[in-house]
Amino acid sequence: MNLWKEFTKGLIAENPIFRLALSLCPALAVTSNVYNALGMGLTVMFVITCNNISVSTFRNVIHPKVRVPVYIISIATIVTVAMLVLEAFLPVLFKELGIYLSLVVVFAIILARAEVFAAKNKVIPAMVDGLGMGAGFTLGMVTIGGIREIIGNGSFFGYQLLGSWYHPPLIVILAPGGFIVIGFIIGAMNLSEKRKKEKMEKTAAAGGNI
Amino acid sequence: MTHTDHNDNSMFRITLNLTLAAFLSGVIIAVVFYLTAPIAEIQRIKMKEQSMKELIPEATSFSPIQGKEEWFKAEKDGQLLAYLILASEKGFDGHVKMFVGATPDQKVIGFKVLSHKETPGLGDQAFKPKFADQFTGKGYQQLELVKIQEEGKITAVTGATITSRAVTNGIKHALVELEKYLNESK
Amino acid sequence: MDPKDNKVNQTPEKLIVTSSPHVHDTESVTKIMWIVNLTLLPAAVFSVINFGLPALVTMLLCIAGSVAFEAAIQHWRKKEITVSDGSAVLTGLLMAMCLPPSIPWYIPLVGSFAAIGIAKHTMGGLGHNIFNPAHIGRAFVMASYPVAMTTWAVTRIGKEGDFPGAMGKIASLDAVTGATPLGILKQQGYQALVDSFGSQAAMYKALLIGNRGGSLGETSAILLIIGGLILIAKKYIKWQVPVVMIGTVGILTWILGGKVDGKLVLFTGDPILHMISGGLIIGAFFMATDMVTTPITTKGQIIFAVGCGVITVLIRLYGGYPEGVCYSILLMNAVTPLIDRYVYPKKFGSIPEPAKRR
Repeated sequence: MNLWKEFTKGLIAENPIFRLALSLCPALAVTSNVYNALGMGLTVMFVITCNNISVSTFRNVIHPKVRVPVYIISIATIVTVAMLVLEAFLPVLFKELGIYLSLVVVFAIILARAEVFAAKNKVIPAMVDGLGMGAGFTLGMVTIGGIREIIGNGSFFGYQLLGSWYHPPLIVILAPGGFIVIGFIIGAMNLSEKRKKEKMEKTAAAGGNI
Repeated sequence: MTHTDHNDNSMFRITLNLTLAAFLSGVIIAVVFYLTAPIAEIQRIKMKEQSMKELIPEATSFSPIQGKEEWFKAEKDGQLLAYLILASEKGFDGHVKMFVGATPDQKVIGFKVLSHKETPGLGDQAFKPKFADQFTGKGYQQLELVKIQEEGKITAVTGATITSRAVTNGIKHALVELEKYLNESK
Repeated sequence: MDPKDNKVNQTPEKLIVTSSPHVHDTESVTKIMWIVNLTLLPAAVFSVINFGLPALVTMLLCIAGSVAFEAAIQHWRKKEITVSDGSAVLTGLLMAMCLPPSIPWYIPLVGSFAAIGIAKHTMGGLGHNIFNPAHIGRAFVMASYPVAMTTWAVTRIGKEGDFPGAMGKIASLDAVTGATPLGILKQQGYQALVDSFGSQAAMYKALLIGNRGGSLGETSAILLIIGGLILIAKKYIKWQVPVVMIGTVGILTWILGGKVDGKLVLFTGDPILHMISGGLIIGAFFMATDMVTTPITTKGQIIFAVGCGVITVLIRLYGGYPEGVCYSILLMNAVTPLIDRYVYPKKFGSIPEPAKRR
């Protein structure tokens, strides 16, 4: 299915954090534990999907010269609505995410999807793309958050995994740890890609294709 | 309106586009705000009262102190139990806002953080009982922060010295202010 | 022969672009590294005498960890294993010198991993690292284990009675820990520091000889200076760098370091105290002169040294930490490429340009 492809591409092949290297700020700032990472991931998933739908719906009436301001207005509206709703019904999560919630407006990945995909596609594919990208973003956030929480705190989702024998290096849940973890993940992904390519080339050469 | 004729009246269309987008956005936000604002307000008051209640569980009423912003008297059957003082102190990242509870003879009962931007999982350890309980029963003269445990002093949270210091200083300032206020009103 | 040109010749599989003169002599990297190791030895041995067995254990763990991680990573990257060139040993030794003497066993190992794995090999190995690996290792464990890293053992040479005042009080406790002189200065002020040694002269003497709390290699100023002088005599490092860095710290602390009743009084600081305490000596002689992570030209190196001195003083006097040498050198490492870009080496055979007229 084509739609299924639109959805899955955001998970690994075009993962917003690790492949497109967009929205690294929240990936650094709110991934010190899995709970916050997941909360932020789901919020972004909601915003990106709604925005893709709205941009795709109005794509034919938006003047190309002012499309970016209009997209930003759309994103800002959705984020504000999300904030108001969270504040009213989930005040604790609202407090946890703090300032990063309002920063969702300027997350590059949301504007990028609006510009690259939603503005050129019909509503349903745009929605699926938003869901996929949001899921990929959430996956990335949870991966980083999980690694950082396990190494830096010895726990996962608040559940203590490693006993008192383990002395967590605090730096991993501080900002530098975010940089280091993201760097290592991207490095590992590139390395595995390179190895795969080399292997393919080798088998191709062995097959006598060159 | 189609894409083909936008050159003729593009100025008009641009204006219309932006105006409509902004108008629509304004309407949506206004409607959502109209619906959620009362609920959020109730939640806020509830959280504030709850944090006051958590500090002084026995109290039955909280009345604001005149002339002081966000200062409260916690009372039970007309008898003064404690003072609640809003303190704000610069932490690792932005201000830590908290309620400081103090007995009428200016000893710490406890504190409750209302808002902060400290590092999750690290700085906010300074708001948990392990650190917070050290303040109980101390006057401001005894509030001294040390990194390595020492009898009668406040031991900072590992790796969160700055937040620990912010909490300690916030409480200290609140108590000093309280003493000043009580001396003046005597 | 400029040792700087040898550093990149370690990895011959790529085309290497350096400024002339080009010297192809891989042997000398090994030689330089081992000689630097040797010059650190007196201070290292003294620290073991001073702090006892835990210091030796920390040092050996750092060195063993660094060498093991270097070998493991080079094996994994399918590179030639070059642990015998002494650079990993030097990284381990330098890092150990910046650590407190008695720390839990895992800290040196975590630090070695950060130094070799993160600071050195993710950048491409010897000669490619931007930051000083030993200091990255130290900064990494400092942020990771702040309590253990600020628990200082009191020296064995000084018995309880030798530490009047604040230090004596701590020394008589069961767990023998004490603050570093700069720590006391930060938390209790200058007078308390002088009192803890008895007199100003006694303080200077203790600082010079090394009879005080602190990191392994921070303690004995004299032995470190001797090691540094040997390096200068052998022309491995330039005398300008340590002199300028220590001098900058001295001048600035003299101007800004004096406080009377908590108020700043200009030109009343104690420059000697700041110049011979903390990690300044080892930093200035052994870290700020690192071949790989500092500018190429002498002029660039002097700019580097001034920057290190200024940042050190800023951190010591106004920052959250009592000591700032490590961070100052790391920060200046980061601007090294910028310095190299704006300070060109003099063209070989050219005459100096006439002074520009305004």
